Amino acid sequence: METVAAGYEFAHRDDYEGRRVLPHSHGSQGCCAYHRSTLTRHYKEPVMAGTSSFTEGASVFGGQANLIQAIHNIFSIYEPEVIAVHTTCLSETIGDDIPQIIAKAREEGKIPAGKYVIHANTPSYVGSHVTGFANMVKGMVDYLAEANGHKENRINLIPGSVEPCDMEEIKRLAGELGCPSSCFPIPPTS
Amino acid sequence: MAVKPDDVHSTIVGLGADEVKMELLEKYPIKVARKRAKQIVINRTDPKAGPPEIMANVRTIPGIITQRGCTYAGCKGVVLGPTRDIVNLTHGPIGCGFYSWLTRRNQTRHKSPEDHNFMTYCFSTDMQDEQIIFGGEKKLRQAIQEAYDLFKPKAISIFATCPVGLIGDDIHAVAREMKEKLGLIGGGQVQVPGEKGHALCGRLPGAPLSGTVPGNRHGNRRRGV
Repeated sequence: METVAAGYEFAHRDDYEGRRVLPHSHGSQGCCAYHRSTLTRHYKEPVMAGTSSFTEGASVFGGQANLIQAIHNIFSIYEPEVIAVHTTCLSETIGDDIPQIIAKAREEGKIPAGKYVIHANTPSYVGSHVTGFANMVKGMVDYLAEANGHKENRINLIPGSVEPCDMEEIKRLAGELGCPSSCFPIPPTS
Repeated sequence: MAVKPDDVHSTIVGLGADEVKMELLEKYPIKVARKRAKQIVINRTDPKAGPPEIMANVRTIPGIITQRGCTYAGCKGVVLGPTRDIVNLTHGPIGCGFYSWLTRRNQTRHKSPEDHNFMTYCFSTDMQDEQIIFGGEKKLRQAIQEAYDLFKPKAISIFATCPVGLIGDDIHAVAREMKEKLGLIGGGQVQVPGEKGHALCGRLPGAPLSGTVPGNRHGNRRRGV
């Protein structure tokens, strides 16, 4: 629930690299509706996110079936390149193991080739939205970063929980210093 | 598929209504499509059977983007939350309280300067992992006491959230105890963990309370907001 800002930033990578990312809230649907309406009001544009739509049954038997079905549906209907799953109090408290569920979904062929499902643990009762932002950024690095042996003379700037306008300023400052840099996560600036 | 004369009124961008529906369903996986087909109907009245019935009030399919809320949202945002003169306390982690902060959407005017208006506040027990493990009843009791000491409200309503439902805090017992201790009126505790149904279900547990909460110490009924 706290990763909304990260999810938003991430979702807008498509402005740059042709990537399409759908944040996904693994829990009951209220968490998803709440952060979507908050971000939609804040950014004054529609913000999309999926949800595992937990019911009492899922709370008792675990959310594995819900997440696998959600992954299958999302890749079939909305066709993102990446699904960024974040957990909620509900799925954290019942103890859903997201990497295991993702592995099972891949085994069952629910994740098309070349597409990714990444995750971050974000219970609301640990830390604040800043913690959630950091967790999701770490999730992105963990799942997507690969060493290729080459060294680039560039600096990756990985800020904490900041607004897109702050990212724009960081980029400008880096440019003024003559420092080749790339901001990560890439913000919705132009 | 040729457009039949009786379909002309429902023609969209040169497609007949059936074609539009088929195109909408094409993307769904087969099982999901079967269910969604009942949720998209063509408004074509059969003289014998009457208007078609649309499938509604069923659980959302996981992964389908939805704007539906949770039970807590219905209760906090719709039923008891927008009451000006009682303290509405969310028993749960801070996210639930923050995202259901009503702010400017629910404006109200109090009758006199002495009158209570808690609309702009957002009360929460701010549960941490310690409460998830050892129980949150103690913190709830503290929060009620603190809210009472600061504001002296005539009633306090408590909203449970997902983790509270899971760990099994007895908020009814805490509410009874604090009600007696502080002399509050009304039985304002509502057990609404978010996973139980969707936003509309939250209105059901709230409904029986509407008769008891908006009163005062003398038992006079008056309007809530």
